[in-house]
Amino acid sequence: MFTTTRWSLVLAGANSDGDQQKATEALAELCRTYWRPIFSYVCRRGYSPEDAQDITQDFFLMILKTNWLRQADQNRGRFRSLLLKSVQNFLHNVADTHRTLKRGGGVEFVAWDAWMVETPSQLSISPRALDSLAPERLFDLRWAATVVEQAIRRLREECESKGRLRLFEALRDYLAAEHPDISYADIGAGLGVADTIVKKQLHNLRQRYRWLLRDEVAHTVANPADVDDEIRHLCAALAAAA
Amino acid sequence: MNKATKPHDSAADGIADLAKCLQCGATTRLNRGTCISCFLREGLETKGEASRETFERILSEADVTDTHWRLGHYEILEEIGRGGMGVIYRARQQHSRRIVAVKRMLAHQVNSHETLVRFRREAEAIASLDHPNILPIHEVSESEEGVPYFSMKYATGGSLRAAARALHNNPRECVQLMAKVAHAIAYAHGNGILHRDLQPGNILLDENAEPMVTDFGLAKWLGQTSNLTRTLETLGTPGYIAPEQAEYRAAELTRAVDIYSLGAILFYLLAGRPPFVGANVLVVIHQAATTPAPRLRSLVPSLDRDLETIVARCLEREPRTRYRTAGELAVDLELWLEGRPVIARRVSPPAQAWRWSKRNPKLAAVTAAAFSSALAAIFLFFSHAGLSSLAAFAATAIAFCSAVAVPFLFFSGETTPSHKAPEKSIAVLPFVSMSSDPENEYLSDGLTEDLIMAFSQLEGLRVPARTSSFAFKGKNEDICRIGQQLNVTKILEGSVRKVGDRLRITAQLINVADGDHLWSQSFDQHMREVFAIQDEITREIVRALEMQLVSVGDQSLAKHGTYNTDAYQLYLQGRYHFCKLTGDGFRRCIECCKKALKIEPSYALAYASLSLCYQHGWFYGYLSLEKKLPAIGREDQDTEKEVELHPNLTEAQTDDLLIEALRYPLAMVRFWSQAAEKAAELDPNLAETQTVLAMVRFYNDRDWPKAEDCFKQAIKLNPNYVTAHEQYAVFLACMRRTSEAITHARLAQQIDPLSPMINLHVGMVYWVIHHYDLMLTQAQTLLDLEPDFFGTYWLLGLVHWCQGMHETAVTELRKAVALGGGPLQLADLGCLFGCLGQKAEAQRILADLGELGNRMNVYPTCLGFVHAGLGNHDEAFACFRRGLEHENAPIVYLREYCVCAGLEGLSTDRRFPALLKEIGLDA
Repeated sequence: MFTTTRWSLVLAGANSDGDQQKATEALAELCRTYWRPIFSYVCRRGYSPEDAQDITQDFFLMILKTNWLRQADQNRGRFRSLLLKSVQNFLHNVADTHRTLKRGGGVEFVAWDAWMVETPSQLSISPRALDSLAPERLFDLRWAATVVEQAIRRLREECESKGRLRLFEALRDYLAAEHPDISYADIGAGLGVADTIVKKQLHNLRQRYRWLLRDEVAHTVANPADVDDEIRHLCAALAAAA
Repeated sequence: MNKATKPHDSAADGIADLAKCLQCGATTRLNRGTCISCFLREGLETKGEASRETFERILSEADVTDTHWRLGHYEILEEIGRGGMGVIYRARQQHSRRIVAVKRMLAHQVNSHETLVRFRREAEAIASLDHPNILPIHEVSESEEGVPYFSMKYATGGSLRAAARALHNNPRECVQLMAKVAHAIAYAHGNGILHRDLQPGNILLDENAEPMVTDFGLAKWLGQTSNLTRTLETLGTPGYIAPEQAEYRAAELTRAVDIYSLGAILFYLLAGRPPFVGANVLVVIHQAATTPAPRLRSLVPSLDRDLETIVARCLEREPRTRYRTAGELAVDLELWLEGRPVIARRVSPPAQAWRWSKRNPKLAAVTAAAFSSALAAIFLFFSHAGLSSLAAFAATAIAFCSAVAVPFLFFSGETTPSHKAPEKSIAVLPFVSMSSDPENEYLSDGLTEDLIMAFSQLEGLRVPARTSSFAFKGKNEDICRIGQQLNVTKILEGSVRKVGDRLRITAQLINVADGDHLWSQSFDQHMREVFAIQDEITREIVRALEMQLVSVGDQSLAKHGTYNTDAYQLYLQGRYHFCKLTGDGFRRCIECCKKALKIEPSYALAYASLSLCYQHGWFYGYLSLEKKLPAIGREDQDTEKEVELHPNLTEAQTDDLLIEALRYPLAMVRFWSQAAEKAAELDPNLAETQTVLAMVRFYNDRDWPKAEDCFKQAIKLNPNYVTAHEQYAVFLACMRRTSEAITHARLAQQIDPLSPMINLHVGMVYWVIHHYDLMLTQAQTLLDLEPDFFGTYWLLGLVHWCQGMHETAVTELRKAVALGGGPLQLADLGCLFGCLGQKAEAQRILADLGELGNRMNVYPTCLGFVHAGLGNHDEAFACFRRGLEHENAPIVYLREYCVCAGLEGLSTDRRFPALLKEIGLDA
């Protein structure tokens, strides 16, 4: 069902017989996708945004350039939990003076401000939850948001590649759960198609979205059987923030 | 690495009253309101086939394609951008086949009819903007589904964000680019539109790499929502939005927010990152509101300090301490490019000081009245020279307002404060009059002004001008606060009491930083010792400031003009009355000056003051308002009387003579000229006397070389004498020496930035040389200073007239007239009506001017101006000819006016070059 996941590539790379190049690329891709939970966590731990930015980039540089790959414990199973553990250790060891690792190593980081602007990602939760959430919980919450974002983004790209971006835009907000107030007729009128077409396409998009979401989660676990468990874990994190 | 003392979240915004998801009840949202919980739980549903192949097959069944999709009469070709505000496509216009950009709002954002209406109204307002550096909007419409969209020019050069990397190591190019953007923003502000989301992505580059601002004003309407989450999305782009954008309501925001953004963009271009970075809007805003922006040179040490200062000024947390207008920022950027001193180092008058006129409405009203009269008077000069043009009037207004300003400015100029007060700086607060007789207030004011004048002539000492210092007259404000507001390190204050022939003067020098008294002394001496007292105070201050006098002796100290204290007192009284700028004030000033001259016939400053009084009394028309002048035949040269100066005339005789002289403009001109000549003859080494003489040479004699010699001499004698710079700027503008005119106009503005007159003059100089964007900047400055001042709307009317915004110009000129504008403003309005084909209105104004002529001297040129607008060229030239015969003044403004007002018919008339030739200028 799943192609080789990124995390599985990373784990394979941790073994000396694994493809190091692919492992590195896979890890870099994971880092590019999941930097926000790390950044959120570091900030929640009390660092200023500027420092958190530096720490986050240093952290990812560290895991990409050092033997962190070899330290990845296959028994851990999940990239998320290992990443969290690693950043906790990293913060514990970080000095009070600014450290800058020599950057490079084939990994190009997008300029920070470009991240801020080009990929806005606004996470909104109630103040009460925000104040009470432990950093680890916020980390999970951000992780969940990232997973959802990634799945939606991929779905959008697939629709766009087939010239159906308009359709995606019209149905995007209805992908999850049934909306009692949805008017297929109105949407169809806007798109110039019958309501039956709308219904069918919504079902199609929803199916594909589910698949993409599971695929996103799968890329962060070693065992496909862990996907449901990972999703439930993230749902629990969200429930705690409700 | 610093740990924050208090944990805060950078990845989530705590939002109160978050709406619960209708499906699951969760309050955790993502971006546009996506319920993360619902979307995540979908992943637990695994039923059904969901391979990509199947998906795409089913997807293709829907006949809802993106390509060749039509939006109105545009064929959508491809999506080129997407943001929180909408989607942008490259499209082809159906009929013209022109490639354009089309932007549409996302369907889900269109949630109410009211929103739609608001969007359309705003979009149409933006579509009316016409500036070379604003991306033009072609059309505003709605799709068949009711989704609003608009089409605009397709910028092929991408956004500034994409080009930023290449610009990073080229500061000059960054500054050149941002100067243009600043001018565009100033233009938009002048049309009442705030951007509120200026960021590199909203500045596109066309095929010539010219910057074009886009997304104008859209954030304004999008931000008006009660949904706080959505508001956070639409506040603007983190890193570039001003800190107050999160705090104030949209309606309360000012153009200062755009100025902040301009500075942040320039910071980004030069440093490679915005001033503040953070994970979300709240974090960035919090930083921007609580911490100073990092200095540019801390990130790029090789950058020029002045550039750093300019950017820092934009990024001030307090909006009032930023540049007042985007135009000012543009000017400073251009100054930097030219290698000249930037204003940011010196300018930044405290907001409270700027509001001095609000705290002193009487003085403000007097200033406005002075302006009105001055402008009318100046126009009279040019109108008699055949200058019915706005330019002619402008030049006259500038010249005369300077003359009006001389009594205010018989002190010295100031250098405007910089952020950090220079060590060698002192403000002289108005000495308090302790005399029981309120009539003795002239003495304390005069002493204060003389001290300001004396200090301002000391090299290396920064002294705020009278305007700024007198803002605190009668106010009981904390010394340290005053020092901060005036940006000085020392304050001199004191009191004056006159008891009989004795003067009791106390003075003390205070250190602003700690309030310590550095020096104090009391004087109790005979009135005849007043000069010695002033000199003593000056010496002590110089010593306290550890400065060196250029030379020892009286030459380096204030030039009192006389050592006769009786004459001096009368002179001070004259200035005091003159400053009231009323008919009664002028009469009393003339009386005092004549009495002073009777005592001290060689009192040059008294002659200079007298000259100005004659000018004002005549040009203001105060002396004629109470009586209706009999009709006279202006062509009757034989009845012209020769009027001599008669210092022994009684007040009544003076009035009679003046009124009589009003009938004969040439005679009144001689009053003025002779006084100025006498002043300069008695003491050619005073900036004041050289300036009034220069004005005579300029306006009366039309002797350009001699006029310039006098101006240069005045400036050499006192480089801080604002009137000299101001008048010289007018002269240079007339001579078409544009860059020099700008230089001296700016100098005048730097010396006295609080003066509405100076700002008006500077605006008029820009008008003469066709720098309309700078002129608009001045108008905006005036609006801040004096929103009820006729000159403000006169300036606005002129600039909008020049830009073809006729309806707006009419509105503003009407306001100018209603707020006290004289024949000149009325004539401008009449001419504009004529140009617009509203003949009845123009004719009505002609009649009004005729009626005014029964009460004051309305120059024929005013009438000629209206005739020119009506197309009555014969009548127009007849009026100009009468004006030329009766007064002497440059007519060069007529030429510029014709350009501005579009009077091509007049300027191409064969009589036009002949008229110019008579004035002594080339066609």
